[in-house]
Amino acid sequence: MSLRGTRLGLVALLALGCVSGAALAAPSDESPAWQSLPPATSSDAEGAEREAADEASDEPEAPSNPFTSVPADSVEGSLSRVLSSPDVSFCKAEQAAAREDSRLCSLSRLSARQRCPGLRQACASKPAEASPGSSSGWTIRNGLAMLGDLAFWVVLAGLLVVLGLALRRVFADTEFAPPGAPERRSASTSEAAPVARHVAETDVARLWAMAQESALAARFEEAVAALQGALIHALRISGKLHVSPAQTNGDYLRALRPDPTLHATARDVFRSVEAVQFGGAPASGELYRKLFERVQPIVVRVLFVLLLCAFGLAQTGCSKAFGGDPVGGADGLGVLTRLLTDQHTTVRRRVRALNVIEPEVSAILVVGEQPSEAWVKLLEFAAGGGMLVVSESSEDLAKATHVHYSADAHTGRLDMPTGFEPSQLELFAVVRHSLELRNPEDTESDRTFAQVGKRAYVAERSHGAGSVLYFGDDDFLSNASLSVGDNAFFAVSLLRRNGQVLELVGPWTGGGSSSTFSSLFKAGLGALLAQLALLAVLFGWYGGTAFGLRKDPIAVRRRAFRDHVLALGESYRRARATRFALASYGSWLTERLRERLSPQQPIGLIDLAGRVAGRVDRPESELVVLLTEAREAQDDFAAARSSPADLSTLEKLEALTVRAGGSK
Amino acid sequence: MNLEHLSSELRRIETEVSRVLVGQESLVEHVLVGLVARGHVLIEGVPGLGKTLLVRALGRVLGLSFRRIQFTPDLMPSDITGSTLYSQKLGEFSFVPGPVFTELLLADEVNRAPAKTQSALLEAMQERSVTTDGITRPLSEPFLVLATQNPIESQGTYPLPEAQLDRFLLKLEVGHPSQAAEAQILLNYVAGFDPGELSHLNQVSTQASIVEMQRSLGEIRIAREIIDYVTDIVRRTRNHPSVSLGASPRASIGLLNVARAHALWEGRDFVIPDDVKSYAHAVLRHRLQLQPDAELEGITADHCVDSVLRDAIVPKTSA
Repeated sequence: MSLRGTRLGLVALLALGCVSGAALAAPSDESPAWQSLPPATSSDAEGAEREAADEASDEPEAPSNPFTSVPADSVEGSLSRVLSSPDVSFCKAEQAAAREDSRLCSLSRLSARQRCPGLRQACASKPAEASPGSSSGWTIRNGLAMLGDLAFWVVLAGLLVVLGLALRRVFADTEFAPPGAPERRSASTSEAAPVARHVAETDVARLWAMAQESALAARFEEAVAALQGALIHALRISGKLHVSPAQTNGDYLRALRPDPTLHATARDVFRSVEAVQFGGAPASGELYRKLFERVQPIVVRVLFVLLLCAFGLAQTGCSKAFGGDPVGGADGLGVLTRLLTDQHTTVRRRVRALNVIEPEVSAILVVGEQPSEAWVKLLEFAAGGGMLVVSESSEDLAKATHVHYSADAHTGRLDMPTGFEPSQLELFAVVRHSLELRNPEDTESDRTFAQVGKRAYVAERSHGAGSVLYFGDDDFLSNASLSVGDNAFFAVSLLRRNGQVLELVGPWTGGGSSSTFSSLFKAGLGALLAQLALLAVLFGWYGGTAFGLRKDPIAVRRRAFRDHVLALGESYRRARATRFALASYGSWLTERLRERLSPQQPIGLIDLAGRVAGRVDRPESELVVLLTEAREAQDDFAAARSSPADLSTLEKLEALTVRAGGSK
Repeated sequence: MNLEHLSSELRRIETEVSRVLVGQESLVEHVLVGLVARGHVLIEGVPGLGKTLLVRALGRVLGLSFRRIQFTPDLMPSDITGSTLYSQKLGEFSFVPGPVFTELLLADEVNRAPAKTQSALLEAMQERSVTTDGITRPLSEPFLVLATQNPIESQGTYPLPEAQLDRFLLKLEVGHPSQAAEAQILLNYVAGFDPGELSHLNQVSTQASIVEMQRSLGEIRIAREIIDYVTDIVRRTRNHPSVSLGASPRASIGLLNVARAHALWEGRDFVIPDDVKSYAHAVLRHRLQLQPDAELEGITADHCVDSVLRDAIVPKTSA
């Protein structure tokens, strides 16, 4: 693979990581309406295609017995593959979290057909220390998410650094711009004079550590230099100094004059260190201790502030992004989604609000609680012919369909009512709720698929042109539950939508943001923004009203040659030498007029005045006087006294030359 | 060498001179540093700032002989160096020394004399000797030329040639005193101060002491990094886009000597970067010849030195 290809791959990897990481925490309205859930692996897909090819292409839409339309072998094969995949973490014996889940362990003991033997073994054994390498539940997805999160923070840090450098440059320009003079150099100077690369440590904490480390190693010369560096940069951080490689200690001392205490401390430290660096004085432990005592209060104060800042910023980094494993954990829906995908059902997580439900969606599985407005939309969807799948009680739902959830307690096998023979499935559940189907308007439309004793546990009731499918507990569809008995086959048979879309609606639905700020706050960046804003306010308060004001760029204006001549004339006037200026410049202008109006042969002043008068339409006598004055100035500039009238004559002559065609 | 003693003596000189020259402490310090560094000083400033008073007070306080030459367009070289005259009484030619044979020489308004006369000072300033009629006569030690010039007037003046300018170790620009200092000057006058009468000033130093200070400069330690810093600064003036002619190696030597003298002034036996940086303007500003377009844009030699100092990296910096 070429280098470019490698880079593209890395970028794609980062982008994927970003999507699966922090960015997904707050999708905006611009994001897609759903997120595709993990598709089946290639081998899974091939198997599914093979099996699908065996099926009749015109499959009946509503079979009377849903458990006969799906090949059991196909589901079993898919289930084995899914459970053995590395990102289904709960099935692994070494999962410490799983061992502590009593419900999961209860399920694992119910059936002999437990497809996670390691889990059963783990539940049977006493919890043990997890190995460091495996306890994190490391998966490729988590790794990408971490990578994405890391990339996000790196970009954010880079932006902050750029901002800091820009501010530094603004203040540096303010401080070092030569007063009253245009800036005219730098780049070319640097190019002309080769500069040795200069790298110095500027981090206070590291300098402080270096000083102590050097002192412990008896390298006291380095130690005192590091102490001095720590002092200078601590003062820089606290806003007392502007530090640059061209600044001397004397410059720093002058900047510290307003604070006599700091000035005295810095002066003592600088003198001592300079004596070592340039005076050949020995650096001893005694000197180090003496300087350490002077520098310590200042540096430690700054380090404490930095620590507080770091702590404050660290708070914003806490998020629940890695708090659980919503896909491969025991409570996740990853197994169900993959099994359904193998059965040609597109499963996706709905992110956009439920305002408009796309026509390709034929079923919606509701996970967790929903607001009333959402239930209205969901019931409208069911009434319009879709299938709504619910697993928790809701007042809105109960009011609309008269199906209530009642508390129950049973752990063990579920019964299947008659009418589904020969499908006798082994269903197991930890039952906490059962269903009450009240006020049946059309009892024939109600179908119960699983019971706890005489009480319904999984049932379907029609609603308008569609139906609502109830599960007694949301745990039944969880990864752990589907690994037991025929639960997976049962769930897939009921939820399979051949070639259509099943959407998962949950707490994430409607989480799209209406604005950029809303998106940032939902991403957990609100605290960081607030901190930055607070810092900006404090800095603005510290820096005064000048902070953040736009600065006019320094205008480097080229003056016209005429301006230079005028400025020169002014200098001559101050020096009382205007007659000399008239003599020199007047002579030059007269020659230019001669060249322009009589290039072939030299002519006298009178003829010249005549030709100029013809060109500029001015009285010839006036021009003769003007040219004569200029000529006389050449003869008597040394003797005659200068007067402001000389400059006036010069100006008239110059204007005349311009009107006559210029001096070129 | 007792550095503390020499340093305190320099401070005492400054204090004593400042009794009559109020508000020009920096100027006094620079002139004394120039004297210790065996250099000559060109002082530029408008009339009435006390330039002549400074030299007279220095001569009095240092116990050195003092002469003043008012440069005019008709001043002849022999008016400075002296000439050989025939003595009818003795019946032989004898050399009559000019005012240059002194220890402190004030060349007032040096740019009013033509270049030929100005050049008469060249040998005196550089070789510290005067040659007339084929005989070279050494000047006394110490020998300090303090030249003044007015920056405003240009009619009837002769700008100093580059070679002459390069002979001056320092070029100082004298500014107006602060309001408080000016008020103190007036109070002194009200109290009866007469600038022509300086007998109330104490002599706090001697010729021998000044010579000892000059000789002790050789014992001031200079680290290799400082030498690199000096050469870096001087080389940058040659590459500066606004400068057509940069500073010469004589400027490097001058900057090094001045840095040493300043270290002595501070009572140190070693040079630090601050010694170099704080005197860079005074040593370099008159040695830079600016590009014509830079001059028209209002850029001065001081701006160029500022720019050079902004780019030159200070040795052993913590930044």
